[in-house]
Amino acid sequence: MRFVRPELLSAAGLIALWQLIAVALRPAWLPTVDSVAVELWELTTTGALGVVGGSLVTLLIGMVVVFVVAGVSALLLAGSEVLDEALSPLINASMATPHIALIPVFTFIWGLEETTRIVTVVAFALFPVILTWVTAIKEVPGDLVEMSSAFGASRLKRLRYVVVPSAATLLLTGVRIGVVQGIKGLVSAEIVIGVVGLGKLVTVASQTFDVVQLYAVLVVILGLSIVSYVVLTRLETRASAWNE
Amino acid sequence: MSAIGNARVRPVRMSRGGRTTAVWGIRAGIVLLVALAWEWYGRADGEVFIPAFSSVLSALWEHTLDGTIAEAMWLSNQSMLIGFPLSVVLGLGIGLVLGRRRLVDRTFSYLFDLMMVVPMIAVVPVVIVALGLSLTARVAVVMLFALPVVVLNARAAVRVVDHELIEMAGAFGADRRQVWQTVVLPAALGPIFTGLRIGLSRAVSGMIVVELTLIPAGLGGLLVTYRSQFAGASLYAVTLAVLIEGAVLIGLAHLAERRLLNRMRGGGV
Repeated sequence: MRFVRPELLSAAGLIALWQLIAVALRPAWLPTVDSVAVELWELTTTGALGVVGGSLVTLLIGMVVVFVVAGVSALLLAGSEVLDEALSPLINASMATPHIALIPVFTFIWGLEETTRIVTVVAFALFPVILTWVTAIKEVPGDLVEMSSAFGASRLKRLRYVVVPSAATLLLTGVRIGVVQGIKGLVSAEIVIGVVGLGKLVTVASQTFDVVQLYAVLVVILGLSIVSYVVLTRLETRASAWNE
Repeated sequence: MSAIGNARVRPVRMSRGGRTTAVWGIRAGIVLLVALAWEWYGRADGEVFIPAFSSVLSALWEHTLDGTIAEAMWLSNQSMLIGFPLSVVLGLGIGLVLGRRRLVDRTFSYLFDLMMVVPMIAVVPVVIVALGLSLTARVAVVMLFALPVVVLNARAAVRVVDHELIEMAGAFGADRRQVWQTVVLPAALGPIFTGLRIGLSRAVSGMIVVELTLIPAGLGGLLVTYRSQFAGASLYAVTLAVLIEGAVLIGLAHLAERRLLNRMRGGGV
């Protein structure tokens, strides 16, 4: 059992089941696995998937904004108990709001511009990152911080040599949550806008009832989120191994 | 957990009363600041893209009185009314099984993890192709959004229950019913209700998503219409209505959790 990972087996089983149903019953909503694979190849070779590059740049800009703002906010909140106590419930509450409902307002203000998508990415990702990072900074052992200041370390040095290394795992958790949320924001904005990036492919496919293309684009989107999730989780595991 | 612990250990520099005042002062200040900035920016902007806060509130009042919002809410929430309870029942059931059976857990849990990670909005067109522009499709989307977090939190809840506490309660002569009432359920209730609250917010997202993208009806339909009519204040007002619905539902879940906990503790040992 040690060498066979049950989740891989079950994933392979599900894909096999998908193919079986698609071939045997031919439902209108489920194309065969191979037709989706061929479509994926065609989308790639014809350059239709080139839009992914543009979307990723937008995501990157949004994530930079998120991490800078979240970094500053987390330092402020972790540094002041009163501020933390006052604002954390507000941040928690805004995290629980259905962010997708905000997208029409964003498109109303910024139209089809890139700003709409960047703002959506920030709206989805910012608050969870702040909350995780506040926890990360607070988890730094107090005696380490005290010792470093006793040895005359400046604020910046303390951040660089004490806070970041000992909080690395949770900081990376924040990064992972942020990126996952950011991708959700990006994809949601693009699909609701409907004429840019991957959203355009989804809209065109679903309006022309091109189910095969719909699945191919879906595979791209799922692949994007799964790969970034797995990579960032690995990074996190490594960091926690270093810490111990 | 230890973050909270750390925060408590730190020396308190302010008196209790002064601290509470400061906390509420900051909260009120932030809310007031946002409202004022919004009002000012809206007016300076000529209320084209950003209508002033007061205009939005009056639009909200107007649409509440003329029944537009109520009608849209009823239409939209049909999918919630069916989809959310179904997600809860199904989610708790699946979560309990995953939490108990190791092999089932290792074989299927990753699916729910994935459902939390991927942008579920991308699956909506596939659901529509399969089920058509129907109530069933809307219910299915609500469930796709709400189910995974309910499952994962129920699974976590089963695992957090402290086995030493159960043994101890047994050693002190608690019977099965008392053990459940005083140890198992109170411990499991926290994570489960967290799952329900997040599930609620995700369910509202799911409900709106279908209407924004493929079935322009209900609240999402109103948003689409007002956006194309360039009716800024109405657009913002309906958005606010959706956010308020989410907040009210989550607040009610909070209340239910507290009630239930109190009752359990009161009826226990």
